[in-house]
Amino acid sequence: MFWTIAVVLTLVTIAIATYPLMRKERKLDSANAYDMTIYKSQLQEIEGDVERGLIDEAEAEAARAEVARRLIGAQDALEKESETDRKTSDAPASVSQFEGGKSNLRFAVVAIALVIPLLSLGLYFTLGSPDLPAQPLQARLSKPPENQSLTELVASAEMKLAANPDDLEGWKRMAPVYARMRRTDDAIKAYRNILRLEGESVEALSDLGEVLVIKNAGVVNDEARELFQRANLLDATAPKPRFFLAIALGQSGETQDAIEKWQALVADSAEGAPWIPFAKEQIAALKKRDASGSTTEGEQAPPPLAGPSKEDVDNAAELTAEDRQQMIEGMVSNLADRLNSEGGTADEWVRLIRAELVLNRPDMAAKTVTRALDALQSDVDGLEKVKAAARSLGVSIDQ
Amino acid sequence: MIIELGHFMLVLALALALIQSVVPIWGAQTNDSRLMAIASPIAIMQFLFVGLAFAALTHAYVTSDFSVQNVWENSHSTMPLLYKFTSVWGNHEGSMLLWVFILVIFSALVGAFGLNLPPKLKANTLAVQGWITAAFLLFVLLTSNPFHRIANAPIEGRDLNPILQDIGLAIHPPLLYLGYVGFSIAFSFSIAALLEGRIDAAWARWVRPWVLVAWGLLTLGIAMGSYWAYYELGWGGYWFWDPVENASFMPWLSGTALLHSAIVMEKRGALKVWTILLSILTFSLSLLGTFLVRSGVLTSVHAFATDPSRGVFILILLVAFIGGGLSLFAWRAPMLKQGGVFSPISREGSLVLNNLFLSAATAAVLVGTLYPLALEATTGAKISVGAPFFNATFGPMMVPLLIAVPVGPLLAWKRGDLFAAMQRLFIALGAAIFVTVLCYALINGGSALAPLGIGLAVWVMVGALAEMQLRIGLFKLPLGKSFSRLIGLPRTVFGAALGHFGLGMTLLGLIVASAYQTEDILVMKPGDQTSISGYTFQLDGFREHAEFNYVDLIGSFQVTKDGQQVAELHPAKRVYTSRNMPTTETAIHTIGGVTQLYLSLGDAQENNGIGVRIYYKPWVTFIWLGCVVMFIGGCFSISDRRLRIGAPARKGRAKQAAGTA
Repeated sequence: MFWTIAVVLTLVTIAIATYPLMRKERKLDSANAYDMTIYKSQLQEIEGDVERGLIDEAEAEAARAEVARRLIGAQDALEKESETDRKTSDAPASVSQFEGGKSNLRFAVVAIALVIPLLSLGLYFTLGSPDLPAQPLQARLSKPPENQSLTELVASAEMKLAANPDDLEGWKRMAPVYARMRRTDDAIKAYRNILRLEGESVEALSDLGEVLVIKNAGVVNDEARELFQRANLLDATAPKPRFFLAIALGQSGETQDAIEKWQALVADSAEGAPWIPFAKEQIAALKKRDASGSTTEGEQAPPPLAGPSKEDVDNAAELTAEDRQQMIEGMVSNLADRLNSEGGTADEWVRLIRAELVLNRPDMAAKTVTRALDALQSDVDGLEKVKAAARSLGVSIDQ
Repeated sequence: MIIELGHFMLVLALALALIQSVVPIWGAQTNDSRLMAIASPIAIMQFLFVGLAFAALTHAYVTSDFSVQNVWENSHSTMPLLYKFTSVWGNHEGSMLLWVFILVIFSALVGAFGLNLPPKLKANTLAVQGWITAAFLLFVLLTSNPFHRIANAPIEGRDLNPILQDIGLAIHPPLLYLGYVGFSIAFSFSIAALLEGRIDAAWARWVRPWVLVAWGLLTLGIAMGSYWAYYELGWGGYWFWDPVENASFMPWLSGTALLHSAIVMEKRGALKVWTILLSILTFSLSLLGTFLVRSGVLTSVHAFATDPSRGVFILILLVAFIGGGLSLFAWRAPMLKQGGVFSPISREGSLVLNNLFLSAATAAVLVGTLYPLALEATTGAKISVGAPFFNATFGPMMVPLLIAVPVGPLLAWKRGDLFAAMQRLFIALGAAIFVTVLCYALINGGSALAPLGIGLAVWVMVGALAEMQLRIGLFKLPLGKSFSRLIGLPRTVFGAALGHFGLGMTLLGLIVASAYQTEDILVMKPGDQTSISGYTFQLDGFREHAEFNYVDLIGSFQVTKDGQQVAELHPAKRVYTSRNMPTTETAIHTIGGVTQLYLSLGDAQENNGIGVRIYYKPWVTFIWLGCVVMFIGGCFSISDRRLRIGAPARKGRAKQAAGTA
């Protein structure tokens, strides 16, 4: 398409640029004739000015004399010119001159017909990106999720959240994504919204506490500590709040308390829990500190980002394929919910069917087809569209 | 695809420009009407292509297509629509594209409406326009390509510089460029005349309207830029003698000279060669301005040296066009016929005086602008040449010029009578002396020279009307007769009167505002009061206000005079969130259309205090209103019907052909 238009444009350009060269030679008026026209109109203007009383007769006379002098000069020049013209046109030389003009013309046509395509296509080849499609933002964000890139997925989810900040599920989906993308401030905002919408839960409180710790380079500050304490009150056995509360104690120099908490956590944990090695390290380090009598914090402060999510946070600065899959699933299920409850256009149904196939759920797709046919009963065109799509995608239609 | 088509059309326009630069001149040399005839359609096609390329880039901005690097670097998806449009030229690449677009608009206008121009003059003029277009299109495509793409498009743009997020950006650069580039036509006409070795009568008539258009738009553009800086930068200044401002002021000064010498040339056929030289110089100054602003040489000579691709390119263009133009002038100008003699005391003589002073003033500004650059390049020392230099050089040259302004139009062509002219100005002189004395008597404080300056401004303003008064016989003829004469006056007379009157207004605004302004810079807390020039400002309190891309801290001020409320003002300190960049939003209250109260907020201080700048600026709006009046004067002059020229009546065969066509 692009190249078709480009080639057509080039050809039209060549045609318009060379068209004047194909026409008949026109005898040129002498420049002196043009001058005379202007002098004549100047004479008329002087008369006009006199009539309107703008200049007095003496001024007008001077002006007239001046313009007339120029007019006569131009006239003389014109006559002299036409005389030489007559002389040269009698001579046979003019024929060869005419021929010369013709070959000039041929040369010009060929040059234009070569320069325009060679230069424009050549330069465009080196500078342009003919295969790169336009990517207007709105279109990128309203693409079906399975076709979106990671950044587009995040941005379209953000756009939906901006439009509907009370979408709890949306915040829940985005919060861990933000945390893994190291967009800590956004993660904090997301967890705060979850707390606002859902009320306090162990999970939300401790997740928010955790990103606050990450933001503070591993230090459990007062706000985070309070969050963990609240979570701990809700469920005294939950390991995450206990883990961070133990770190907090260690950081604030309450060594004995910290050791006790760590030991209790280890004792309560199932075997092989991922935080046990770290807890044991901590116990050892704290005991050593206790023995040396030093209460200064810092030297033994736990490394930043320590905790149950250590590997996740360290290894997954970028989203994994799984996360991506999860986000897509979330969006697809959103679409499904909406279509099931509110209905939608045939195109939207087809999009959902496609998405389910991409997610490798042929059964769901078949069910969706049935639901779509139900929902679109009154829409004959829509029915046909869905049926055609189902056939081409190889989804069985049971009537 | 739209973007890539835009890119392709820009390349096509370059190919067309190259053809336009060669073939018509060849036709003019070989007397071939057909080779010359391709200039007009090619010029119009170029206009179409560059226009569509510009539209394609605009489309990418409006739809936030961040696969275009230029869009990504200079816009944000949440910007208001207006700023999406203006961001197109709120950056280097886009503004150069606008520059070229305006250039091809002018070429197309000559191509489409130059039907009555002698064919050779038209062909050569369009060819020279073709050189300029080709050079700048190459510059755009090779060093500043706005259509450069990013394969992995980012999801959000980097936003437009907050200072540019203002209606000023919508108006100022296009006006300024229309002015700059408008002078290219005068340049092209001049080079065409030099190439052909003759100055047609049509040449003289065509150059003046083009210069008027460029001059009028440049006047508005500079005034607009000055007002923008005034309200946006937050410290009450309107002219800083900054190199960027000088870059637009120099072409204005020499363009003003050109405007006046073009009158002499049109009316009397004199000063032709000088007018050609001025045309070349004026456009050269436009190019120099583009170079100064666009090459980065102003930010730092060293930055320019380390990434010189753009700067060197423009420098080469500069040398080629200015050097080439002046060399051609040196070679061909002696062949041109000089016309018209006049005595020193005459209308022509006064216009020569005008040209002398304006040229000298341009030179002073040029030195003040380039000297620091030259010094930094050679010795590495950074100096700034500020207002003191320009006040000492530019100012004194303006005074005699301004004194002469009302006299010129009253002198007759060829041989004038200075004494008679002065007699006719007795009203203006009386008014000037009266106002000066009145100022000395009534005003305490301020500069001792200010009343003299005010008198000078009154002299220019009242004197500007003297020619009109004389021509319509006001106070001498019955009022009805005067009125009918007024209706019949050529519009150029109105144009000259308004132009000079506007100049006087601007002068008056400059003098009064700088001599009698009062200011107060202090820290205020809610409840605090301060008074300047009889106005009391009370800070009521602050509030925060957040928009999608910035947060405002808005102060609320009650302004009272003698217990009466005058206004409530809300200056703000604004922080743009995406770049974390602070700006000030000034609050301005205009009293009676002339005097302004100007408030801007500084930084927040301890104890809930905030820095506040308050200015009382008497008559300050006259500075810009004067420019608007000058522009209107220009419009009057352009609309004068006498600028239209008929085509010569053809004889014989040609006439028949025209009849059947």
